[in-house]
Amino acid sequence: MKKYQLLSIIFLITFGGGSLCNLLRQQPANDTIKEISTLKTVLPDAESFSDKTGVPPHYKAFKTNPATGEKELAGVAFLTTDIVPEIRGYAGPIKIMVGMDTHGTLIKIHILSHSETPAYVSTLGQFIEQFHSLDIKNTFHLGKDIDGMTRATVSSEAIVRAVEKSMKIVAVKILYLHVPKVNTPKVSIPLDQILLPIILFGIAVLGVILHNNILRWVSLLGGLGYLGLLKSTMVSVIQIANIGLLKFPIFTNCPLWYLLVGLTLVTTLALGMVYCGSLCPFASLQELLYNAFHKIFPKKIRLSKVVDRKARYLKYTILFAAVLISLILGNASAANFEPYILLFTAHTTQIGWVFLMVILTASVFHFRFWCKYLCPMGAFNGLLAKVSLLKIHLGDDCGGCQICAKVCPTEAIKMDAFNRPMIDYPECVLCNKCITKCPKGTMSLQKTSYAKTG
Amino acid sequence: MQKQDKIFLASLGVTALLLVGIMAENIRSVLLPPGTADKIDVTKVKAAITQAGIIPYGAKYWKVIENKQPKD
Repeated sequence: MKKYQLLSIIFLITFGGGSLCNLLRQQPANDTIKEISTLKTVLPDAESFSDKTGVPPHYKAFKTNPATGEKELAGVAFLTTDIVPEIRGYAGPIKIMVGMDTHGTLIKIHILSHSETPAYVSTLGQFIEQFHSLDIKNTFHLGKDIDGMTRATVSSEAIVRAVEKSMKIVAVKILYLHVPKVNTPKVSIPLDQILLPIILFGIAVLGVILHNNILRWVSLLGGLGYLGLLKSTMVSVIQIANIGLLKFPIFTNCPLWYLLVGLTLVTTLALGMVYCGSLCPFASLQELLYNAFHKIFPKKIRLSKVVDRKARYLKYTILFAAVLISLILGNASAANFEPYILLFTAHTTQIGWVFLMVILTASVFHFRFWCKYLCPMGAFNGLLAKVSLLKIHLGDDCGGCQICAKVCPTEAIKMDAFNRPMIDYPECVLCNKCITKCPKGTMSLQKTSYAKTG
Repeated sequence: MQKQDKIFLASLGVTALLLVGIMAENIRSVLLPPGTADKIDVTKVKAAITQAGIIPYGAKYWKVIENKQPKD
């Protein structure tokens, strides 16, 4: 249908335009002004500063010696990203300005910019306060000298390593101090982050292909347990924004990021919304709530078709807005509103908690309330699912009984003028109810599709 | 419009408004990233300065308090 083509074009313009805007926005002059204004924060006792010079690049800070009346070196300030650019946070570089005195003692650090998800680094202020008075002789052990941020181990480790390594490099090369060997932790790829997503996606795909509801629920509950409760991560619009910003985590740190994004794209383009229908932890929770409630109160709320259809476009608006704002700001944090992050990280503001409660309450009465009307990732996957390789195929002997339309929980099926089902693929979560409930067994998943799209 | 439609639209509207509120908070946190809070105990410093017998003068210098000699 033309409406989805139009939405896809709007998305491409938003994504492309936003990415271009981000590239043009990165003006070094602005960064320099920001750096200079931060110097006094990290070295508050200094009276004047030099320009950024030397190898490694640094600012020299001076103050007047009351005894001699002459200016003397009080310390140095530098950016970790200038010295150890290879050390990155989960979502990209973390630009930290460090102020250090001439004895190698850290005075203050200040985060100039980062791309981490705010909910995961909500305690960043408290975390960096722990660095005060550490010096180059410290080992900077996370969990021993410094407490990490819960659920943000990669970001915590990156900040600690970046500060430690850059301090020690500057101490040796600029201040000519003797420093102990830099602590380099062993890097090992977390295998669970590779194997478990593959297994979960495998079960989900099998569930779709075999039209098996048990397998679908195994993957849904697996997704809720592993992705939701254990890892507090999901495929989200934050990842789309980070791709537009060309910010990718290091594979060895976060293979799960690559596995989730890659497998979601592949399965959506091959079969349709496999991730949304069979893996998303928040969708799983919503379905559990809805099913539990309707086991007790079987009466379902039926919205008028016009209201229901028009309300579904809201998720596309949210997708475009989130992507555009994130790309313009150069930080995907603006897109950090998805309720799963608020729920599974338990880090949010009062507005966030109210938002979450409203969504969960609405999900009790409306099947997948968030997914159907608000989820920007669902909107994105829906646009991809529209061009998926395999689609639900309708055989020639359809009797027009409308059972498929009645059992579809997302109301993605409507009947055409000839009383044949039309499937709205961007709304179909591949629950397979239409296929399994069809009395003539005429529906199946095939490469070529007779079924029209709504 | 049916009653359930009105309730649904109201809840959708509230959710959308809350979402805008969260986005505004996020944008603010991006534009003003957390720095480090000052840990200076102003009262303690003021007391120590007064004890030392000096007071700030002209926002830049120190002045000896009358009839009180500065202590080391």
